[in-house]
Amino acid sequence: MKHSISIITFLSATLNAQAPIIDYPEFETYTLSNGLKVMIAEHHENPAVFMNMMIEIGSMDVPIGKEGLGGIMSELVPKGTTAHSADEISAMIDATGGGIGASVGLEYSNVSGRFLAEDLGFGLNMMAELLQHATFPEEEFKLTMKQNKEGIKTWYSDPSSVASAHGDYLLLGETPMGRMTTEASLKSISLEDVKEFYNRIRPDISTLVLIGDFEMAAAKQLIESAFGNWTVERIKQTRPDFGYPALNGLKFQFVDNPELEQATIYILHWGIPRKHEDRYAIRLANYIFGGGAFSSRLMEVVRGEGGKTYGVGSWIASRKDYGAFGIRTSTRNPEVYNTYQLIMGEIKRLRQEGVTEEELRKAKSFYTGSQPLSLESPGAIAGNILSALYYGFTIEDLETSLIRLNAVTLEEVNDAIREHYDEENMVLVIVGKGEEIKPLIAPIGTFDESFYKDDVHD
Amino acid sequence: MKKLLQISLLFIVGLGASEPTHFVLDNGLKVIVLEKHTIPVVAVQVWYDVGSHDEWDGIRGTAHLFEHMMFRGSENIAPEEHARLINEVGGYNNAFTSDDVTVYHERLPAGELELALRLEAERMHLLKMSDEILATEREVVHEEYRQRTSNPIGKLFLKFRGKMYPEDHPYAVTPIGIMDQLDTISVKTCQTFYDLYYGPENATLVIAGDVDLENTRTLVEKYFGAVRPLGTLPKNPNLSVPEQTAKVVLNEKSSFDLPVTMMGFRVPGSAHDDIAALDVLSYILSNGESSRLNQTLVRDKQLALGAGGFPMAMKGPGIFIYFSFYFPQVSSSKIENAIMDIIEDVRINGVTTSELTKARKQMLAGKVFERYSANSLANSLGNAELIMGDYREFNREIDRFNAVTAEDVKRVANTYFVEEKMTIMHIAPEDLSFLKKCMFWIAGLFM
Repeated sequence: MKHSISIITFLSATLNAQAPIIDYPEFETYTLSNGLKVMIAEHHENPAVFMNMMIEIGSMDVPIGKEGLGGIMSELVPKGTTAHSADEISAMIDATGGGIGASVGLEYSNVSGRFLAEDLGFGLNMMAELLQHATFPEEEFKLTMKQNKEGIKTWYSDPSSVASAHGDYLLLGETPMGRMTTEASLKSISLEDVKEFYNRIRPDISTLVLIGDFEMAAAKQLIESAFGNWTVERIKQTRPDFGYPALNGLKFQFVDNPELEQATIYILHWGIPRKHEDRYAIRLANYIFGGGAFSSRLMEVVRGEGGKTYGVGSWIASRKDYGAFGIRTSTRNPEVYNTYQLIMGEIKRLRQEGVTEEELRKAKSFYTGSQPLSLESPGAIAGNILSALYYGFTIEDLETSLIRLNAVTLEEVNDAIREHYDEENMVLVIVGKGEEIKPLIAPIGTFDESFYKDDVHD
Repeated sequence: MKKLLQISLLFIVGLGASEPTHFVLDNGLKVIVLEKHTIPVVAVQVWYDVGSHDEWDGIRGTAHLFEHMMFRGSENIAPEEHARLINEVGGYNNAFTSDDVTVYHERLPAGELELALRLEAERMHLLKMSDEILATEREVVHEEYRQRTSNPIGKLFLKFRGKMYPEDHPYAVTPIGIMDQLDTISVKTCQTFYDLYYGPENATLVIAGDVDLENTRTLVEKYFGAVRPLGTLPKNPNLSVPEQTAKVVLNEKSSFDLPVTMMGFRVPGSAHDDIAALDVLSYILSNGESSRLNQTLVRDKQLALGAGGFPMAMKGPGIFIYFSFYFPQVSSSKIENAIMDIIEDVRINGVTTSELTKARKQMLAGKVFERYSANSLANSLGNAELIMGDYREFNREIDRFNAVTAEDVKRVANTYFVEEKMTIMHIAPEDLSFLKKCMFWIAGLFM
């Protein structure tokens, strides 16, 4: 049987010379008269359909002081339209066995649905109804705000979330990406704010990917019928230039939680934007350093040799205009300093010695081999495509990305490491039981201190 | 209904996926294979019929600790090399230990099936252990425990789960074990555990994905054929449990700033005839925004921020758990009564035809979505074989679910979801000031 997603793999032994091409399903791309970009592909593996809408508006577009507005808006959208009440909407969606979810990310928002193939028309119409005709009833707004104001009090139960919130603020500061949702920011959100934010969702900043078990012509008609009349006055939207100030030395925050028997260590510094020329080199370096689970250096040293943690990992977060590099782990209180030192030692070793040819070969081999695993679900295919489009790539770029990744040389990786990894200018957050760990972490440097239930910022 | 059956048939026949089949090696290893040729991916899972319920007092946590040891080297494979080799070809691997089973799983490119089989066969009979590695893994498990219990609700959930069974029942201690006992487990104990349970006749190998049955059989024979059987298997522990006759109430305090209530009802094991009706009831009570729990507690009465539930399917007596986290001014008794009223309504009036139809379609859709993932398919097959007793239940599940009537649902609600058979834990925020308490008390009068 022909693979719906085929991987034309040349011999892996010659990977560096001839890398594989990933063959995505054939999409038909067109634009509706209202500016909505549509990408559509048949995928007949199972009687199901997947629809993903990417809208180029995110929490970066929320005014300072109104953090949480995106989440409140997405919660309220299914709480009433001109045609249906909240309870009718949830009952109708649940009755299909499928679902529609919405999330407002930092840079863009995503509305995704999956349904049995027989409910394609319903799914498209419901998605269109939610995107065009939400009514935001006052009583629903009040209930949602009440729930969120109580719910926000519980975020600090998770030490990892506490570390992230402090770390993001120390790195990104007074920007929508650095600030978090607080009780105060929720209080400042009005129903008018929510409606105004919703009205910024428009077809000409949106892309719909539809993939699944349907006939192309019929599906196109359904799309036209659902979204063809979506007309909203076009508003020129600009995103402010936030500015990304360089780190100068160590920014160290200690967060006291007297209940914890385990300290969380979170390290963050600037990375590279998504389209940076070193993106493949850094991706490979990160796999070797801490992104490759049990194959990574951090896991080998911190867990495998010392048993100091259940898990340790590093990641790269690359956005359109900036990037970050992070490391996270947790360890028993007495080992907090030693664990921190082990991690720092590995960063230094990475910068000084670089990676080896053998490590690079294994990293390339991992990314090459793992491609089909990330494409099993049509929903994942749609997500990959929309993310790529947002950052200015094409499907062809996705299909040939492994060729570029495999072409990266050892020298390029090690040059990129020296340029982008940094053990001196960084953010460090440690969350733990102050009574036990403060004396241990004092040698690291001067830190600011807060209580875990405190707001991260005013 | 007719339309649903048509989809069901299409689903079972499948496009690009075959019917699952099986064969058994001479040494007793059962191998279940499902061919799915839509994408070059394969999932390989080894399900050992051993879990924390096989432990005895003094070695609680061994099954899970031992699972860690399985990654730490064998005769021809260095410590952690198993995981690295799988990563090197683009695959992922991990394992989990439950009360009933221990499962080792790989997802990798289909062309690398042989590698996964070679590695799994190797650690099935050639594992090597040392004091040094055991000491390291013991510390890692301690960290895993600390991580789980760093969330105050997570910590109390472990306690709640334990209280669902009598103290001496094999399920009373969760797989993470008892940390004090973990510290006394020796290499000798681990070796005993390995020698008792880790053999071909106590395992099921599940392979799902872009593979060919005959080639798979040849490879399995090549690597697992030489694995010596254990000979005799330990007797399975007695999992029966005396019927609960009195409600168990637990009141706890925590640093979590919202009150939480969890309630659990014991149900029969997964192979029992009533499980399908209980599953339907579970969908109706807690699956989706329009489920009865969410609709009543969050939407209509506006008492809670969230409400839901989930079944914990076990080989022996399982648990259905319902929970809610709610506004501080709402009393725990109000939440308890609201949930019990919902259940009482089912016990007296049953469920509606539209609720039954919705539950069936939700179940069917879930099964269709699951079929994209080789790993999910392997997981369902392994679960059907070891927990439900026969991998063919994997395909029968939909029919059993569709055969459930409203009367069946009402009957199981009356049999299992009764107050005297309930265990309930109320968790209150611990640091409410006196003033706040007064304000909430007054506010509660109006809710």
